[in-house]
Amino acid sequence: MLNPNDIESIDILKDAAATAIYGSRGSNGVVFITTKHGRGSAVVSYDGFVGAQKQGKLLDVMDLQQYARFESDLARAFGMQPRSEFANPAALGKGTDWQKAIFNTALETSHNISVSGNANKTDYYLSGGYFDQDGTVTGFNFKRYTFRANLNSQVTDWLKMGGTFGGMRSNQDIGMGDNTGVIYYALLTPPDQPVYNADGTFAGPSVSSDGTVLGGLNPVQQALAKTNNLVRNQINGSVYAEIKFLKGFSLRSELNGDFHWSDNLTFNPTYSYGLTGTDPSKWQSNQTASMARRTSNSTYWSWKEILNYNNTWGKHSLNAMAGHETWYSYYDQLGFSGTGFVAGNDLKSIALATEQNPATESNSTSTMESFLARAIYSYDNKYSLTANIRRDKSSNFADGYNVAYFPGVAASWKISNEPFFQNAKGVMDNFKLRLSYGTTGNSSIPAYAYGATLHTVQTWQGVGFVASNVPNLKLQWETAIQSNLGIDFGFLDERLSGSADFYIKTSKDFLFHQPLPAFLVGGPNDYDDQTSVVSSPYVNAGNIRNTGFEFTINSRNITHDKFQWNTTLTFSHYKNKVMSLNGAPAIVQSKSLAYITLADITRTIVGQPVGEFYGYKVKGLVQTEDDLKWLAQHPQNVTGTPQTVTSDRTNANHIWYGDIMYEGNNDGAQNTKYALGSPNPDFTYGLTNTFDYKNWELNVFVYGSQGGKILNALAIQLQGLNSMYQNQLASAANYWTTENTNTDIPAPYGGLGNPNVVMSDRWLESASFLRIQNVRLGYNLPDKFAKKLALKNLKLYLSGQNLFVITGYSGLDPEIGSYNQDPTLQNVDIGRYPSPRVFTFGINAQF
Amino acid sequence: MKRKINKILGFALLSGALLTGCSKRFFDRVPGTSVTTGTYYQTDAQLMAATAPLYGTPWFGFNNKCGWAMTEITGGNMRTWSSDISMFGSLPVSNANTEERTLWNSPFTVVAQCNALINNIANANTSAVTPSALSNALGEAHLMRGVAYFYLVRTFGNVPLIENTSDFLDNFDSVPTRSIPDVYKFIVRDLKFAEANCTPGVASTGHGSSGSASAMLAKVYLYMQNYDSARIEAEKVINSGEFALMDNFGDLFRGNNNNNKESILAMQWISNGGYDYGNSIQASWAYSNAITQTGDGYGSAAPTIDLVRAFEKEGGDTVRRHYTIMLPGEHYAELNANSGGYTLPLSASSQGTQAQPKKYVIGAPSDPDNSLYGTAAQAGGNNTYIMRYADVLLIEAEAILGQQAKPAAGKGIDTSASTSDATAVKYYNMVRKRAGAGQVKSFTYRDLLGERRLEFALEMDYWFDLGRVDGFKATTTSNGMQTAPHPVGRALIAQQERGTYENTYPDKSVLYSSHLTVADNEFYFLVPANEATSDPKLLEAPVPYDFTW
Repeated sequence: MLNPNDIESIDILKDAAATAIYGSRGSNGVVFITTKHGRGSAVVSYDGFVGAQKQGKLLDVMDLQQYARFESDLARAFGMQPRSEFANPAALGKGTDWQKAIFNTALETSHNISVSGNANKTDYYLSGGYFDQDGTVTGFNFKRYTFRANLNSQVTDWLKMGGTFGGMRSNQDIGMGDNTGVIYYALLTPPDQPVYNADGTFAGPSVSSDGTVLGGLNPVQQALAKTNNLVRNQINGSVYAEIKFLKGFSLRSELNGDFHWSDNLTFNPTYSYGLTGTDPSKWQSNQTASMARRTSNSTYWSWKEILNYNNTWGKHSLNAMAGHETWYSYYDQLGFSGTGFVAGNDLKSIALATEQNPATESNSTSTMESFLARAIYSYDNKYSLTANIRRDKSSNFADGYNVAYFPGVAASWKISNEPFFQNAKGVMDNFKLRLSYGTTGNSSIPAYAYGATLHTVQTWQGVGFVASNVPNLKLQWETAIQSNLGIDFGFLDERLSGSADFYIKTSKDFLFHQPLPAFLVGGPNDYDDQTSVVSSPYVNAGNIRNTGFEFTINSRNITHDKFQWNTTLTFSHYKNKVMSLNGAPAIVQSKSLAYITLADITRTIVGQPVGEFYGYKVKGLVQTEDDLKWLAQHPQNVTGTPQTVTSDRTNANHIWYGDIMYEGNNDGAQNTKYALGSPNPDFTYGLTNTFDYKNWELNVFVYGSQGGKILNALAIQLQGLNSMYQNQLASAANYWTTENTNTDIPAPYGGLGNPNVVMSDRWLESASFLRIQNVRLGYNLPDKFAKKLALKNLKLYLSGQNLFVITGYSGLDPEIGSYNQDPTLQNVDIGRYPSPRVFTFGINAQF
Repeated sequence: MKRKINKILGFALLSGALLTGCSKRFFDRVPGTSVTTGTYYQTDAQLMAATAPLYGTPWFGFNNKCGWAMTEITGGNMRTWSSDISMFGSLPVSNANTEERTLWNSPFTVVAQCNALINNIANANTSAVTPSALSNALGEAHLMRGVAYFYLVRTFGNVPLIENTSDFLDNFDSVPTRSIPDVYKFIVRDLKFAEANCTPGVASTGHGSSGSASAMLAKVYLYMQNYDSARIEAEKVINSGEFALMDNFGDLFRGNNNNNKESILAMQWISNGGYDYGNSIQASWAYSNAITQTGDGYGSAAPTIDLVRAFEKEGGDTVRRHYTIMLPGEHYAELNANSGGYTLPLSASSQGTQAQPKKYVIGAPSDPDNSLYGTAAQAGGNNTYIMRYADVLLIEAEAILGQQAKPAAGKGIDTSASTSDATAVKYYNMVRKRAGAGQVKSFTYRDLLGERRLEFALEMDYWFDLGRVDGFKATTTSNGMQTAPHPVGRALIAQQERGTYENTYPDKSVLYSSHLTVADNEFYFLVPANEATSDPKLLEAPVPYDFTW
């Protein structure tokens, strides 16, 4: 975790030949971060900002009137008596706005001081930083302290040495986690439930005369009462020595270390609260406090020896490199938990638990060793040839499968340096053709995933042992094979420049945690817990091909000496296709939410994109008598049993799924599921505009994504209209009734997993968006004023981040990513902490 | 000189770095805290620690909700408005329902762990293990695999039979199901193996014994209508003396009475392992937090009016009723004992039936009944019976009746068939006597089914009785759906009053009556949707199983 202020530059290397040198960790591209070092005489810098964060988008949920009407209709669908207090919704108020109750405008501040310089062939950079960010959601908070020292010294003419040393400590209140967390609770908590009682205590749901609790936990109370604190400490450092010997030879030896400790404390205190006047035995309560403490530490070290040879003769130049690299990484976690804290809720010490649970511990070690070699030959600054190879050996695979070789070649031709091109100069200044082919390995799976282990579970006779996983001793390296054809160009005195690349990247034998059906390995229970499910094996699951095209164009639109306008446009498009699954069956993914199992939400098959959405297609709602008659003869088979829709069913107005069978070309016995679209965008783009006018600078960065689908899984819970005492989206209030037939939302239908809430295109939305990510207005204090303040330089800026998102997506944020980094579960929105809108005011000062 | 030093330095580092690779040990990274299969199963104690989990956490999903949602709610003994399980009361339960999926997942987790144990032991170095401990471990694994498949076949009908997960890694999309008779044959084979290999007389430790296997076999044979074999197995158990009825019915469900003399086989729960390890039934069933004192007690399922009426019809059957169902105003001295006991409020009617469950509701952590095994939020330390001795007695009685009635193939015993066989009546009366019900001189099959219902109400059994009263159906239709006729089961269910009272006790004046019509194909649940998508063959006709070992 680096302090952003310590970063000098960030380069992203994607070209296969370029990434080859970084081996397995570079198979998805390399982000090359250079930290700052000193130049010239000593400079003291201060960077600081203060910002206000606010949640940009809230979901529109039902108010009390809408909720009352919905609860009454759902009660009838369940065969319950509607609540009498809801008989006349119009007489009710708006009720509690739970999102308002948990979202806050929050402050963030950052201070960073650094000293850097260069003296006596030694450059140095020292910095210290502090960052404090309150959460926009009650219960979240983040503080970070950092320091860093970078040192480089030319000791003698043949020896250069240096090192870096950095430290970080963060202290974070995580609050209640993502999809089962406080935002999720706030969305579902009914609006008839108040936050506080008149006496200021936390209120709970009302209770009916027969003892039914008409709601649930109070999200504000939960967010404030529960502790979930994470402290992290990190020290990292490196030393190197670079020796020049013989002619053209140098040897660089480098040692890196990274040490990390973290400590997570969760505490669920005792509490008991309820609506004034209700029976205390029906209150929301926790009689037994519980606590867990998890500490982890990790150690990483690497040792690199790189031998370099450089030679230039005539128009020829050769750079050759050979190296050896070893790394080791160890992770250990210890867990303690207990219940019953009679000494009270304030003393959060595991030693005070009246009931101690058995401790848990797990650790893992991964090691790798690589030999690498590379030669770059170039001629006359026109032609360049690169060849490289590396041999990687990883402890993550069994003996006999743990070694692999990854070669690569690249060639480039700078056409603009050819004599015949000279006439074009002035119009086209730079034109370079690049061609490369490279392979890299990937071994990033958990340590010892190939072997069979047992793990402990609790039994009435103490600790017991169960099988953890299905082994796969033949597990081997995944290889990324990338072919790249690219051009670099510059026109009109480099007023217009850029690059374009076409690539084909194949992930061969991609590593994947193959889901297996429950009848082979067991399956999770209703809360997705799986203490004794035999984990399915990691496999080399097949080949995936990404074919892509991307370009970057930099344009200096206006280059007046008082006014400059620069534009950078990036564009990227790729197509993803599964070429092979190594003979294994389709990968079908299911996901369990708190109360909903999304069966078969994606399916990965040969010839289609990875993680393509899969399910039923909605045709509309069953509306007319004719519809009913037709369906009575053609029963729908959506949830396993043919459902004959009859007019006496209260749910006659439910969803009507399209069906190939009845539409002419399928003789199957059930409604057919369809491929419903890919989560991958058609293209993504970014546009940066920089305007400079005298001492003012305005920077506007927007980016976006076009195409692709999001599975709005949160909406299944927020729009399912199937659970009592839970609020729903306001848009769902437009459900079908005899007076409201012109709608695509079915009538309330009791029961989870009912035919209206199965996986269908009803829950898919376009993932397209345009985000105004950053607008920043800066002002450089003119030198003469700065000098008066004893400053070398002073810059003030105002910036707004994540200002605005233009999207048709109805959820909180259209940028979802993949669930647990699983490529077959991309763009599945199960609700997560949304990124807020932030306004900051900042200062950069140099003394 | 300087040049020389740096040359030497350079070459020394070079040779050190480039010429020697890392040793083999550097890559042998077996986790330091995980046990690997290669080093386990080598002592008697290790084998015991490997069989103990088969009675606990793999069953959690089944015990938590879906097990009783099916057996009690679909069976008509309980009802609920809780949306996660309400479909179990109204049918059909969709194949996308989470609890429906758990009905499948939980027993198959048991199967997967039993298979892993059996196959890992076969490859382990067991030279230091005593032969009896080795055969007992294999016996227990077969016992629990048989028990898991017994739940699966009664829930889903034809299911795939798996003996080794690794056999199907590359073709899991084409694993067929096996017919109901094949699955029963497999279960019998497993239980016979268990009977021959499990240690006798150890059921009181919580581990299944040879006698536990015999008792399960008796029940399986009863379902198969093999009355002769059912009697042989039941009598083995009765004559062994390993088990006996508890004297007081209420003692069966006191937290401290785990693995009592009546307990033949049970899911073993603990209160200090957190969620996944404890018995969470009380959390759902207890009427309120005033009973559990652990913040739970949601009253999310309650006895049906029909079950209450069935007890009322029994007349003097108050002991059994009292410990099965709480009625408004009723007092339980053992619950909340420190505050003088618990009285169910007069207004209690959490599911509109003016009744709340008592079985498996064990009270607060401080109650004397929980002094040994404890109870915590969502985690009671009390066991869940898979089988208890009263069942063996009623199996023996039913087998005798079946031998006399000789039902036609594929048909159940006629409900009016009656027996006055002395042995049958003796065992039947033993169960009734302990329950506080009157003694009889003969009983009909209808009586016996009613007796079973009241004796085992809320113990996850009744739905299975309703499914078997029409006989052992040896047929499975071509698409894998079970459509064999269930006239008796359907009629019994159609009579059940599953409705609610508008008001609370004692006002029963307004009854919203509700009845359930069950179709023949609804006696078995659907294969969960995600399983069927992974393996479409699960929806096709079963394929005969190769029983050669």
